[in-house]
Amino acid sequence: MGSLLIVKDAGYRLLPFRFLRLDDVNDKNILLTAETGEYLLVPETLLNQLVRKELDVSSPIYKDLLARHFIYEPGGHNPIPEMAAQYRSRKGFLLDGPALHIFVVTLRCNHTCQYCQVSRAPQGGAGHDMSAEDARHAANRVFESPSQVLTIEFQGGEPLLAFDCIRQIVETIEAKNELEQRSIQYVITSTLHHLSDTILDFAEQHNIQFSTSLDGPAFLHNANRPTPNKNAYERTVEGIHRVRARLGHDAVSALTTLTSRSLEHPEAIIDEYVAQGFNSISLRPLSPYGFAKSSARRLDYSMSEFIVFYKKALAYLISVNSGGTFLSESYASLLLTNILTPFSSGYVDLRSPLGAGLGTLVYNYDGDVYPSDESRMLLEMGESGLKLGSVRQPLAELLRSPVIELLLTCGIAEALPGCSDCALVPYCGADPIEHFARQGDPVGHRAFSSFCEKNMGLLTHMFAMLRDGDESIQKVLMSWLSRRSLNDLPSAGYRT
Amino acid sequence: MKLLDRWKMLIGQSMALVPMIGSPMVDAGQTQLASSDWLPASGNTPPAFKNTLNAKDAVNIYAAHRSHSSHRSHSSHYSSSGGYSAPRSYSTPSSSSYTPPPTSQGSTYGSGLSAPRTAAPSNAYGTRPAAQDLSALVRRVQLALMVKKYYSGAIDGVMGNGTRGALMAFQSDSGVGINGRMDTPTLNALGIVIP
Amino acid sequence: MLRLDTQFTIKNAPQRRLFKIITPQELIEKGVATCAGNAGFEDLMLWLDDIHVTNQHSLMTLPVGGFLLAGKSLNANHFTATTLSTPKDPQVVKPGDVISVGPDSSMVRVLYRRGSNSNLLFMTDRCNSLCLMCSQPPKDIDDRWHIDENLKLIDLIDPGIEQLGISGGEPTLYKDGLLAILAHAKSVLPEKSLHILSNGRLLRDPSWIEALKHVGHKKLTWGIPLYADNAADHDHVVQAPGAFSETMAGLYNLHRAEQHIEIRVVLSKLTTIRLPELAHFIFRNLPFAKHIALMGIENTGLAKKNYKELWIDPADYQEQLSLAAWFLDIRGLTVSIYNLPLCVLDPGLRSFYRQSISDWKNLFIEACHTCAATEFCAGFFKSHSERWQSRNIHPLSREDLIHTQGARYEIA
Repeated sequence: MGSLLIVKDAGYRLLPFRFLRLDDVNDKNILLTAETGEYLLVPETLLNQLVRKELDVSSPIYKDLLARHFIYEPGGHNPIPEMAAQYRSRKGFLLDGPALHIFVVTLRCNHTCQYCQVSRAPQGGAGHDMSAEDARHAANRVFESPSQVLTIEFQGGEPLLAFDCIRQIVETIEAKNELEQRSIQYVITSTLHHLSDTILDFAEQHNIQFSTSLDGPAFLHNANRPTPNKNAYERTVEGIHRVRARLGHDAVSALTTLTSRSLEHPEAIIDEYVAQGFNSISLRPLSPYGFAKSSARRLDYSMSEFIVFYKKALAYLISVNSGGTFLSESYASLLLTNILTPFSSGYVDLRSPLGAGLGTLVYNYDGDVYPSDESRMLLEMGESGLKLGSVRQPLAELLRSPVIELLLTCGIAEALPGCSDCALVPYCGADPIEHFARQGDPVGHRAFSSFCEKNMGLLTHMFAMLRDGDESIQKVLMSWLSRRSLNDLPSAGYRT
Repeated sequence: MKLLDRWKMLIGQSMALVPMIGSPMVDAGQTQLASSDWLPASGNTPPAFKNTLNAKDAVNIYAAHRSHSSHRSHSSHYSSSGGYSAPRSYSTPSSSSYTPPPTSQGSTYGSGLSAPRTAAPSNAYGTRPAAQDLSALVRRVQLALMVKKYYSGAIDGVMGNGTRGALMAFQSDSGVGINGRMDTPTLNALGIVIP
Repeated sequence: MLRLDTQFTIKNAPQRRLFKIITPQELIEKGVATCAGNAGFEDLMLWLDDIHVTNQHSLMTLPVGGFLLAGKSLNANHFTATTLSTPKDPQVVKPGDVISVGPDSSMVRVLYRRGSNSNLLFMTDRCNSLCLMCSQPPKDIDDRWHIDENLKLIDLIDPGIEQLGISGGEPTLYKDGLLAILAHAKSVLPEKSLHILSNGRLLRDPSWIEALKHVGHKKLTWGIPLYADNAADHDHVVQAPGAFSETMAGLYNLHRAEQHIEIRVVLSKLTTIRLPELAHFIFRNLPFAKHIALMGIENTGLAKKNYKELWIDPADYQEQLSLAAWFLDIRGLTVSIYNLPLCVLDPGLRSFYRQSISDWKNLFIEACHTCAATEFCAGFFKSHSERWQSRNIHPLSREDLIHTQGARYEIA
């Protein structure tokens, strides 16, 4: 019988890798990504030679492909130990367990933000506060996580309205930590409208940081976040100054939430952050939860509109950095870390296996435990099915909940349809909860997924910048990667 | 219908869901990365790299911007070469006073090693017989007295009349107690350091 | 630079042994405590100068191991103790040094020099590689006697903070001996940091992991060369097929044994061509390296005969060097550049420069006469010659030094 030789025997064999056509701008438009996360940008002709075993083994590109784990030489060097080390390091977060613990201490709030993801309870009254008993239990859950580094984040409503609850939780955790000796960072997400000296004293004592929302200059911020006195912006800025005066310049960070009105003002938003002296900005699109979903259309915009906005904002931001002001965009920095390093990401929202439940836990004001912030917001939309259990159950039991198991089934990008073949999967993540919220299906159809659209759009944009950007752009990107000022970066170094 | 049931339908599963962490791997060739107590298996595990970037790893924390502080010089002033140039006329020692070990398994070097010293920066004094220490000390005293021109006898390590006399003369001139003994003030005055 | 051996007239040396040179003054002050470990009077060799001539007779009754008559007015006759006199170069052996003396040769070797920045424990002349630029060409002999000599040497050297090298040949060839030396150094000289030069190939044997963890020396660094990001190029430089794989396995074992690792790259025509790619490989696969040393080549040993393959004017690889060094530095790895004259280095790289050539090997040339930077420059190897000299050697002015990008000249 005739046998067709379908595999030509050459000196090298292929290792598993994926590829993607980036654009038609440049002849190096094929992105190759290895299992390790290493990448190469090559012309299409080379891809053909590579798979047809026609590569010139004396060429530099052959050595690049070998060194970056796209090919190997049978009988030659065994690359598996290095590949295993890189892969293990990238996924190292798995063995750490939940590191971000969110305490929703109250639902009370004085704002009526149109895109709010939580129900708003009136300011007075403690009906929607976390009970002392539940707080105690939740503190125990925290230490059942094996992670040596823990972040405790207080959310709400407006958490400062339940400051006594915060105080109790911090003190309980600090007491337990005398023995445990973990590295713990506390953050309060707040509008900063309800600061007091007592609160600041306490924050100083326990090294608590603040995170606030600053949507942009006054007209934008106030339009997005109405308060009875229409002065949300003024009071937040006043709060920022007050925190800084007391606790230091870097004790408060800020992020934006972008409405369709925001999309018209990329430069103004960035200028506001520069004016307020921040060193990082987070340009976050709206998520499909809470009031955003049910609000008027004027809030909402398509993901492609967001991406257009983001590219404009990023270009402007880079020019601001080149001018000498350090202001990094946090999602871009995260993507750069994923693309350029073999290290595990600290960001729970872009992980595979998913971050919800495994990397983060939410202790709700009513004593229930959820795998993520977003799943709690689904609750506000009438969906309670993602509850893991009660704060009184031990962590091991909560993580054995059928919810977790099902999330895992849909939560490993390398196993999802569409993702498993995508060249960007080493740098991306899985988010079954968002897919469920938007599409009603936790696996999600990739072609209609705004999660996919966002990440593909931004990742391909980053790759194009890394390929095409001039030395000054590279230096800004490197300054974000290494968190150094441009003064300490006389050269961007080797690229690709 | 409960959410989970809806999801299971969507995914088309009727499988029993088994905890993923801690179950023995079916494929015999694999090694588990971690057992159910979260601890990594020891042995031939792939290294897990720690982050070398200046940025902090913590979630939701926007690390304070720090200007890069330049590294202290790593003190390796070592050049690339072996550093040792064999002398031009070199012959292997004919009879070494160090016995090369027989080629046997196991380390043979343990026996020749000195015991750790009893006190830090102390030396052999802790492990030598006391009489030998005393004799060495007396010699140092005799030497010191000779250098200072108080003594011209033999440096024999014996506290005889000649040595004692010289010592007392020195003690008298130096303003320390004249007792003919090698006490601390006297040794200090002679420049002798005893740890 | 000062050599490490010189001829003496030697009397009464029945066996080869080590001596610690000590002045009467230091003998008074410290006795045998001048040595870090277990030492007796018999290990000491008393240094006698002209000032001691009046007391020479008495002094030579001291029960020390021997005498070094450094003064011209001293005579060596009528004594039965081991005596050294009339050195060919009187600067070579000085008080505090440890020397090796034997009946077979008039050459006295200095094994330890007080105050030197490059004392080392020499393990063996044998090696399992044959690098094209090897500065210490290997010999196939059984020289295990170095081990015992080093164990004794550790006892006799000065206590105090210092970096000791351990080198050869390939030190790991005598596995038990090396481990014994590490353990003994930890016990006797815990304050001294040790720096082992090894190709790491034999460390692919996993039994080293437990053994090194057991020794637990807290100040030990392994300097391991890696010359390319691929096996073919690396194996060619070290002239040993399979070396790349073995070294990579050894590096991972050292990491498992919680050892400090330094990666060294000798800069030649063969290694500079893919230097940025090597930097990328190190970052992706070996980011636990505590230090990366990029080193100018020394034209001694085998390098001379391999000139054609190896020589590249440093002026022609400054760009590769810069791309590689900044790539690593930005990602948080520590980089140093050694063994290049400062004038040849891209000024933008001065923050990585270390003045590094061992004090007994470096010198300056005619062109350096008017240079303002000799105090900070590594200079040249004593083996330096015209054809290994960059076309860019030129004296630097004070101006040049002032306008340097954040440079710190550290005496290594």
